[in-house]
Amino acid sequence: MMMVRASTDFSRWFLRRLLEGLVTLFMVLLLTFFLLRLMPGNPFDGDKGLSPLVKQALETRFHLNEPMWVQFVLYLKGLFHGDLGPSLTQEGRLVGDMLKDALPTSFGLGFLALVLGVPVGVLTAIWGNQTPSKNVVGTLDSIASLFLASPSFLVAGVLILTFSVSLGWLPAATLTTPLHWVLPVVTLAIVPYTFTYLLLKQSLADESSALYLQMKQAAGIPPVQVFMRHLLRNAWLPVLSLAGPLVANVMTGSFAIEVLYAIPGLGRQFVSAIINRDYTVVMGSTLLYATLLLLMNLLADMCIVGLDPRRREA
Amino acid sequence: MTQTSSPRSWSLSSAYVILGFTLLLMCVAFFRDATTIHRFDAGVLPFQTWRYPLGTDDLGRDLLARLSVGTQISMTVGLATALVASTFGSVYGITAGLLGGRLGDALMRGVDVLYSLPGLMVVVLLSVFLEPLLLNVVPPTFAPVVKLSSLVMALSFFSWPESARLIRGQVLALKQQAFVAAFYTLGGDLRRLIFVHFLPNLLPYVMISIMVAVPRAILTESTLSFIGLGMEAPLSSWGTLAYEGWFLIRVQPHVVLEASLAIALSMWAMNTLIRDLKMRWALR
Repeated sequence: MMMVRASTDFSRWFLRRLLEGLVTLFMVLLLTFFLLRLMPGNPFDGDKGLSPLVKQALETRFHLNEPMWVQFVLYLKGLFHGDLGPSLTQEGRLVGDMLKDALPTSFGLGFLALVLGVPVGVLTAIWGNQTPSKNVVGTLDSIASLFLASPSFLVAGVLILTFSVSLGWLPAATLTTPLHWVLPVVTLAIVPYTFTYLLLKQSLADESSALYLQMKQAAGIPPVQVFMRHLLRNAWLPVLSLAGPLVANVMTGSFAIEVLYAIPGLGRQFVSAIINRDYTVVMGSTLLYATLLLLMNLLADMCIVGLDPRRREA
Repeated sequence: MTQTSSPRSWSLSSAYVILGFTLLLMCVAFFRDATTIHRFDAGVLPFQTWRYPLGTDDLGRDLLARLSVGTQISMTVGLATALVASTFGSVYGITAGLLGGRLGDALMRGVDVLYSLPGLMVVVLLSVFLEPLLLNVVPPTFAPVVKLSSLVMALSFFSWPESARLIRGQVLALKQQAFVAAFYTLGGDLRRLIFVHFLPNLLPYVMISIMVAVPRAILTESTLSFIGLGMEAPLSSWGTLAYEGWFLIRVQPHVVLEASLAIALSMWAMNTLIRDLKMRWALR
């Protein structure tokens, strides 16, 4: 009986979250579409050499001369067929294909950065929590606060100057061989590392003083078991609640990282699309980011609800 | 994301020293010229001389002066964003908290939606959208600061939900306290409760939310400028300088290093100060 209730609770919670996510996505769609279309100028204004006739033909072809709501309906229609439209500035390229080409690079980079940053963050946070040495804690904290304050181009600059320019061990740009991945991944991993370390350390410290832990210890349960089963399990919750946006940001590759290392990923594509007023590419990238962010948030919340059933109410 | 343990005394004093130097650096531009090209004064300039303590950039402009201008720009963006965002966020949070119930919840749902937007992209879109819009409205004399103000607006849009959440939480906590019930029992009116009892209690939180917003805005602005979508010369911020320096990294690495170190050091100092204040005011 209990199980049945719990599962209907969960599915109701899940459906509500899914619905909220779809509403948010629609709002992102509205916001991006009308912000872009209300901006003065269009992609074909920049070309001084374009004759008025050619410009008119281009605008007709991409429906830019239609009323705005017609354009919106046309875009929505395409979207339901999985069609994000053609790129407005790159001849003969489809936005869907452009995103598909850039996605593996950004995802791969983000995935590797998470694989590197999160476990190191978890281990150092546990180390900092368990060690009696004040020097270790102080050093770990100083490193974290330095990372927190450093823009990614400082980290990348120091890494490139050391390992590419001075030592000549690692290449500094593009992603042609496995060796090329090292510096971008390390630079990107700084963010998940700092985030995991600081949050987990804080919540471990908060949990450590809880009375139930003393109870467990007094009952003679081995410290390792108390730590793994009780302390760590509860300490994960605050970390998870903020993990969704982190994972989404890291997976899509930080914008700056892709500019820094000349990596042809989603971020760089977005930046050049903004500069060129390539509406459809901007729309497509924004929708992709928003979807990913929502999915990751949902996933993180599902983990939290799995670990702590009380949260289902919220 | 913040650290909640109290900073050590030596790091606190170095934070004050760094912020003092940052203030000094801001004043340097009143005495040194950032735009003159010095390269051909005496052939190609070496990296560092007594005349140019921080060296010169690829065109031979004095980096100390340029960094000083950058400090002014970055700090302006940071402070303006923090003030706008925290003021709006606080008013919104207080309203949502005081209203409570369904209406207050509905107001916070709006904030939740903003949280689930891809932040950096929205800032880019908004600032690119606002710039031509503002250019049409303001008189031409203000044209140079249009980029700056559109960036400030976009960054504020990105930043205000955080303070709205913080302040609303505090209002809700205050409402639960015994003195509120006592106040009503004794026949006090709502306006007095808000202005005499709530606002002074909220003040430290508002101030913290302003201070937290400054380094975050500066860091976001520097990232935007670095990818070429933020401030542009002649109003170059720290991020713009780093962006220019990035392409010279093999030839003149000091350009990007100086600009990004300026960011990192001042960010670190501000974060340390905020941590200390939080501990001192016993906030979480």
